Amino acid sequence: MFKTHRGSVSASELTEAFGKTADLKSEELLLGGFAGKGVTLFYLDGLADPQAIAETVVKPMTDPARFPKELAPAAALELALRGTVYGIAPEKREKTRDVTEDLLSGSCAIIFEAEGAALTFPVPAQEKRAVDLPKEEKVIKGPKDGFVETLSVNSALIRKKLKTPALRFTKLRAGGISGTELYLVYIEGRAPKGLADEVQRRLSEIDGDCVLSAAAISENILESPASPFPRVLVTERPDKFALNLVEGRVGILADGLPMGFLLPAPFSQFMKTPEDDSGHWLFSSFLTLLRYFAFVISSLAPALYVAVAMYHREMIPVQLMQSMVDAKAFVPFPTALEVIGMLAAFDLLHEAGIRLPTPIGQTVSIIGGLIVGQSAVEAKVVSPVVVVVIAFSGIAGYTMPDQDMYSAIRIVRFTLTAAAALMGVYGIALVVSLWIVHLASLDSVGFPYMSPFAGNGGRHILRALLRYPMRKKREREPELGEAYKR
Amino acid sequence: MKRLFLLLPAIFLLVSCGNGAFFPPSREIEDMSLVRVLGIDLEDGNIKITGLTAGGASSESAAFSGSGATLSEAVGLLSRLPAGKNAVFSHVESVLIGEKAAGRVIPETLDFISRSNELRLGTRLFIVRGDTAAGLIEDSGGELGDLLSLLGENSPYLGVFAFTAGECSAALKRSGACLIECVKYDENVAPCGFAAIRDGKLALFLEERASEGAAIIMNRLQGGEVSLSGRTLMINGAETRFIPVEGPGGEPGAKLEVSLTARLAGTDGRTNAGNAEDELTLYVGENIRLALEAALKLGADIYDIRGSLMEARPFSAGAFSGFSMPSAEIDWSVSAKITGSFDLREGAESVAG
Repeated sequence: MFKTHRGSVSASELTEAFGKTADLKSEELLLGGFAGKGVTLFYLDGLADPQAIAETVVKPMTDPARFPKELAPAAALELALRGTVYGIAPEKREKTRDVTEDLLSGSCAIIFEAEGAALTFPVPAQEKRAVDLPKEEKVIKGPKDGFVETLSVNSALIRKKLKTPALRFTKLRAGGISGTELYLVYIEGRAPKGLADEVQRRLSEIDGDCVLSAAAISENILESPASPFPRVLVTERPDKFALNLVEGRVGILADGLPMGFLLPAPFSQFMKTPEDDSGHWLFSSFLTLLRYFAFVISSLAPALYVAVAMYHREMIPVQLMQSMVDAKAFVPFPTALEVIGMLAAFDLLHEAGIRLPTPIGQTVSIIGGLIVGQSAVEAKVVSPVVVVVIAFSGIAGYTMPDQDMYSAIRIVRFTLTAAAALMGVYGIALVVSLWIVHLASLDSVGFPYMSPFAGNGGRHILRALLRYPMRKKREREPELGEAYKR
Repeated sequence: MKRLFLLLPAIFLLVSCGNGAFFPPSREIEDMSLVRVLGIDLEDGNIKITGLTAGGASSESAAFSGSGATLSEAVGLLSRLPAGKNAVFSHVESVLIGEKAAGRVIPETLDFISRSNELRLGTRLFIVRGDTAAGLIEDSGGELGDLLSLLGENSPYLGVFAFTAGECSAALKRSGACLIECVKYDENVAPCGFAAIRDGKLALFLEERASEGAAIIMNRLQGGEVSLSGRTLMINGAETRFIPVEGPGGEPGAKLEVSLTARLAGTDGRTNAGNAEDELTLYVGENIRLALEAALKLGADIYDIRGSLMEARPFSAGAFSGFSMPSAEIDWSVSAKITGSFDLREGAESVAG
């Protein structure tokens, strides 16, 4: 009636696997209230909830009515596995490694020495952050919930938004030491065939000890992470995550990270915000186009100023030119150095504003922007035109919905400014060409990064630039195709 | 991608091939002095260049000069500007040519402007009557650039507009002659008609009424006040239609139909129009006659009547290939209409007819 196959789990092996760690708790379980049955309870203090262990596991297992004295350990194991114990979803483990993984995930383990097997019951501790407003991706009209560090909470948030049985969660683990739990999320029939398998393969091949940061996932699943441009869409919004799953993307949730990762993520995805679906389609389309324009302006404005001021003065009307000459009359630094210096100062202020506590950060931004900038102009350290150009470029960059894209712009700006300082507009054209070649050569999990602008014959370009009316908006991204192709 | 990076050194060298520099030369803004007006004169057989820089908050407008056997040599020998600044010619708006120099330097000037990588074909040309360009620059002070830009306003006569270097070059190539606006200094910079250039030399001057006629023929009359028999009229605009006709010998000719509208100063323009329309018709007709007489004297189609005829009949352009001023029959008719009235400005002087 009961299986007699014997596994390799033992209390001593489990204790040895964890070393002499103080948070590993173990005690002999009195099965049915009787000692000497060779049943031991293990759990990790802090990860498992002792209250839940006591109520749902220990209490029924020590009940003599459920587990009479004469019951053999094998039979007791089977009874516990089949629901005699209150704890739901017990897992039978026959390898010590599997038991350690479950303990690290917040389960408790009941070791049956005689059988060399263990039953693990998920009883995670309830200490988790409450679902809160997303910090970075704010919207005016739209849901106000954001991902938290607990994987089960995040998966529940997605389930609440996509009430379809086609929604799949595949559990994975990454990081030799961190053992971070991951969920690969996709909608069966929406994601291209084979894409989920490919992403799963890449996640399985993550060769690192620690997967505790966003970059540990986003950089490791890309083939060549050298590009500054983001190719994995990272979001802290469950609604955005769900919408992208419906569009056919594959998502990744990681335990300990309050964000979701979405693939494939072409360039056009980083120009969209969750707010786009909240407003009127005309205005949303206008804002999307504005973001593309802002991307170009933010990248090019400082470089164009340097090029025109140093090489192509004839492009500027005489009145403006004379104003620029007057403004720079007593500034001792060359134009290129002035602009690069201001770009660096702007980035320093930006970083200082982020790192400092919020009240101080805001004050530093105001002081840096207004007082120091004004003082620098009055002291003739920089010319006011440069301040205007850099501020304009910076503000345009802040319209980027994705911070990773803004970071890429900061790098592109410096390269273009350097090229402009060396060769004027010709240098800008050269470096822009190189960046375009670079972007066109990128891919996100095999999908062209510049899709739909390149790589598919120019179809669906309007879909990237505009937000179609809801009646005409097809949910699935047509350029993802039906099947994943390498 | 690797091949692209290998090509980069070649591209860098292409940027400034031939001058030995690795990167193109750059200049800082504060080292530049923008030249707005350039003057060309003849002095002791040499060409003298006078430049007037733009003034601003950090520096005052200044004049500087250089001489040489040719225009290029004169530009190359320009004296250094104060504080070691470099003259930049990319914002030169006007080129003044002294009356004496006009007889010799016009083709060289046009050639220099077209070849220069700083000067533009849109630079306006002026001939200074009764003075040298350097003298006008000196007399008018630092605001000369703005004064030349506003030449059409408060003009003593209608039909004030400047031809650019590009237009003059095209006209010379087309008909061997071109017109250049004239200016003089009389307490202020003022326009004074056109100069006709033929075969690279100054041929004749078109005085004010002939200039008005030229403007009407070229469809560039913008409007202004005219005083006739003690009455002041404000011409709103004029339109000239070109109708091809055939002369007695079969040669192509043209009929000009000019229609213009005007307002009469006073409270009730229509009631008090009287014979103002007839007088205006005669006045404009006489202006056209003077302008055509100048063209006949010159023997060149300086108003590009042939081009206007080809525009009017684009599918028969070949029919006008034989059009030439000496042989062409040109007739004209003028119709003037008083459309309303206006209040004469206080203290305004009547424009001499």
